[in-house]
Amino acid sequence: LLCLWCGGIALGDVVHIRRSIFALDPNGPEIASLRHGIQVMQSRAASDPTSWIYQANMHGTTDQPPQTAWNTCTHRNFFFFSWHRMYLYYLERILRAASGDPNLTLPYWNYSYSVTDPPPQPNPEPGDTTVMWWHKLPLAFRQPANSSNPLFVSQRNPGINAGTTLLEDADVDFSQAFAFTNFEAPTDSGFTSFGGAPPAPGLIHFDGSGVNEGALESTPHDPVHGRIGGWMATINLSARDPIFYLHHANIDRLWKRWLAQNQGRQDPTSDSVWMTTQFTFFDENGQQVQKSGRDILDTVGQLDYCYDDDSGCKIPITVYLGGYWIILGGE
Amino acid sequence: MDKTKGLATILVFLLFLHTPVWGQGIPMVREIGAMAAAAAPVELAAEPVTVRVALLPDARAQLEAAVAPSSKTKLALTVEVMVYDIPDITYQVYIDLPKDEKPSYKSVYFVGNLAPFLPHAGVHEQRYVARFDITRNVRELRSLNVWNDADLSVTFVARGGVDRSGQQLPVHAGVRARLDSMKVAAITPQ
Repeated sequence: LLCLWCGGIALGDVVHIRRSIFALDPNGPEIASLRHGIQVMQSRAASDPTSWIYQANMHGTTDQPPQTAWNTCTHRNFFFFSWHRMYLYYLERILRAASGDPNLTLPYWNYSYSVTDPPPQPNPEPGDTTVMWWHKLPLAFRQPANSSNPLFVSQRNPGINAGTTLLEDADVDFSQAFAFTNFEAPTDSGFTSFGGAPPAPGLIHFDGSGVNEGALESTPHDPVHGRIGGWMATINLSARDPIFYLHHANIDRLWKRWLAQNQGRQDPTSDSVWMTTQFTFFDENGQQVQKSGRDILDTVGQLDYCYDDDSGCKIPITVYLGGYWIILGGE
Repeated sequence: MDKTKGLATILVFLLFLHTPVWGQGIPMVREIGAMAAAAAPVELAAEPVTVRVALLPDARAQLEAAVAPSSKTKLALTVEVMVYDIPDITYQVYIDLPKDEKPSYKSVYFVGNLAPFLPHAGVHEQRYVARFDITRNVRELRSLNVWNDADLSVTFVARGGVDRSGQQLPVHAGVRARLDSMKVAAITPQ
């Protein structure tokens, strides 16, 4: 539901705004909430659907015995975008509840800035002379580099954690993907598209080949996973690394940016398979829920979130008063 | 009665799953070139590797049709590899990259990244097939008069990330994948 603005005070459901990681102070309240939420989830039993490990295993795992909705991520087909949007939506709700912060949102890592179009924010590391610092793993995920920081994962490529190995321009350039105006292509046809082709029969979770993969999944999605390394480099472990969710929030944001280019670009709403195939998730209460493509087309109207660079998405000013969060307006 | 209904529902669902939802029918795929069988397999390691793809004698007509301004035909380069282990590197893929040309992803020669996101770590022999739309590249190479209708070369350049100053980091030695086949096809929607 949309916010109902009344004299500058919001009534009803809040639209949560996912912000650039570079707009957040690494030592500020948003990152503190994120860390706390992850810690709480990590403290839960693996059998709890709201635990960190259960949620990660929904993306992929070899853990036994398999539990409900484990290994249900979709890759290399046209459900890639929609499944991951649903996945992040429910994980964000679980994190919000676990942290106790009703304003918690997943930040996104926009690594695709350029020297001629840098982030509007300054480099968060004083004295750092790195030219394209936005290609470094965000600071809060590298420091402190110990177990006190739930955003730090020691398994990553050492240079990535040290901030000495950076992503390359070619890893994160989405111009080739954005040039496609078709969301989907026919299965096994040889055609490429932005969002991929319907899965071959029986291969909805993961197609062994990559012929039905969409262009944005090919780049920047795949190279960023590999470059971070460690857990992030594999489907079965990647969602254990917290940076996974910032990477995929950015992929989700890029889906919206692609649509905003118009010129014929649109979601495959005439494809009933894409629209109606249901996937299973868990909400913050551990209740099993289903969603399909038609439920996630409008992130504001259906999922109560937007990105800070969406047209019309305003950052709310909130105050905590008398036990209630009151939204006073937008920036 | 219920069983009959259930069976009918399943049949309708299966038919529905197999109904083409894009375009008017199955696209026509014409293979116009392939890596010589004798050239395979090729190992992809730290150093750049260039492999020749021989184009068929009638490729020229297909290529000309594909690069025509209003053409809906696409040219696809399909690359099949066996990945030995999850690499911490990306292979940049170029076609017809001149010998003395510094590889650049912004150049007309760059067709995409080969960076498979695979299920497992440390598992040998994971198959991956990458497909690149090379229509724009071929169109531009032809307009620059640097295209050869007889064959094309495909170059794989390993990249290990960059340092803080933007300089390339060295790629550690070692074979990351085996290139098994490459094909070029002209694909036309029906």
